[in-house]
Amino acid sequence: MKALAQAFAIARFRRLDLEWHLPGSLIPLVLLFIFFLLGGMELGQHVLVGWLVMVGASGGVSVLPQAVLFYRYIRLQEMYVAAPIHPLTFMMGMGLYSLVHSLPAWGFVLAVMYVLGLLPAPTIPLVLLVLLLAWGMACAIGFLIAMAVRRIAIISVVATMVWLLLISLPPVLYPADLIPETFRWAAWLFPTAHIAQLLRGSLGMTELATWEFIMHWAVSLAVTCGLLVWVAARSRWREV
Amino acid sequence: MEVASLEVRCVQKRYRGGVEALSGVDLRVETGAVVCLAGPNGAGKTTLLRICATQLLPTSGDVCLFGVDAVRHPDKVRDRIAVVPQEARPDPDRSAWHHLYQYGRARGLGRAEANTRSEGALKILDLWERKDVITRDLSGGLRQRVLIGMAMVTEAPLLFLDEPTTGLDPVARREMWQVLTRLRQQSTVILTTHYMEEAEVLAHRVVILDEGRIVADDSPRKLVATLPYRSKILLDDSLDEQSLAALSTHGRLEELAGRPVIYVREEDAMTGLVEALTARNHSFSVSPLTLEDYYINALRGGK
Repeated sequence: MKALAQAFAIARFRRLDLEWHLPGSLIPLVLLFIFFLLGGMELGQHVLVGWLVMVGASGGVSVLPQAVLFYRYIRLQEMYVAAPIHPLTFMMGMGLYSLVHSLPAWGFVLAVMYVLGLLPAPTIPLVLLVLLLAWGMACAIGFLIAMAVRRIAIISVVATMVWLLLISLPPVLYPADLIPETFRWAAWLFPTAHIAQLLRGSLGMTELATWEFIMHWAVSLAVTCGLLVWVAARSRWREV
Repeated sequence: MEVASLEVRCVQKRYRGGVEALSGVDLRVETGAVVCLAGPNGAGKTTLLRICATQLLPTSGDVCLFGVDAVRHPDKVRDRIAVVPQEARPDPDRSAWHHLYQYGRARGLGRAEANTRSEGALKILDLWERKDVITRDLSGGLRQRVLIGMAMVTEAPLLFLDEPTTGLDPVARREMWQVLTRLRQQSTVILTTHYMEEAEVLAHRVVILDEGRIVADDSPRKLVATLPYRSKILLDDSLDEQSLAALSTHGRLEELAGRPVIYVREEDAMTGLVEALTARNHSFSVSPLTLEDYYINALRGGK
């Protein structure tokens, strides 16, 4: 309980960059319009699902590493190190900070989907669970970026590029069926594709066999845990 | 024997690039002391401070805080220390109040306690009237006070301050000294500085490091007393070489920013020199020796 209170304090330390985050969150609106014109709601619903993944990824992949590097830059992180704050509490705090950035857009998209009848009430708990997984995975990638990139001047470029790569290339904002079968295997190399597929499966947009559900969950969890373990092993709370 | 706030034994630090920042440092700091780490750039001051503050691992050696091995068990001592790192700055978009309160909460203080302590610290720091102003709109001196306030809110018995007055103008620096004087009433303070005047005013003890080793460690008064000179006389820079050569027989002649200075060993020589200068109608000023004179002397190896 104390660790949670500490994490919340860490999350609340920095001002929210919601206004900076907003334009990026609205990008799928254009895509939604085009897909809707091309394929009606049948295609448009995939953009809405991708939008949810994109927003979650944006918080973790883009906002989080920039905040971590900012703390490092102003030396606040050193004050946290020399304090009774566990590194995991710090990570939790930064994760919560990134989560807050995703909440408004998630709320908006989920509301739109609910109004359009694309979000049946019984699926909501499962969808929220998948979104939490998306957030966790994005945070793991974000910590990896923060660990690898030491220069604050380029962190925003690197983070945005990784975010775009994870969102635009794999079938996140569009259905996997649009990729030629020969290259479809490559789509599953991107963890965000698994999250998007899980959401489609949970919402009933795509028929997923039980083994496919299990596989997408397993891959997503493995990537998230693997990255977190890697970051925990490689990064140093106390410098060497 | 009372347990020291800090005890450093044979600490060595070699960075990955091969640079040896500390080569076997020993230091013991008693509770309630204010110790100033001084030395030229790259002497190892910040490295030593960061190792003591559990931010950096030493290559070898022991560091004990309050009798606890801080190298192996940093978690057991971190609730009793606070640090203000070198070149730290507050978040420009947040207020002084926010910094103190949230840092207190992040360290595990309850809401009420974080509130009370933040209010107390801000009043001591003379920031209470500006507690809601974002730090972007505060002067450099006030921003530095915000950081000191974050350390104060912890009420940690041991504080590490890395160059807390660097970059401040003389007035702001003196105001900061007032703050640091208050701090030393509640905590043991270890600070680094380049300003010998600051060390002389604030510290009970000055530790001078050079090339990773301690070259001097005592109270400012005692260090100055070890100098072989009693005072110094700053001469007019219009003196010709012949006059300077004649005057240099009274003591050691040096140059300070183009102005000749004579370090005088004894009172008799001093009297003789003053008489000679007065007879020749030269302008001069007599100054007592300071810690800075000791520092320069120590780093030159007493040459």
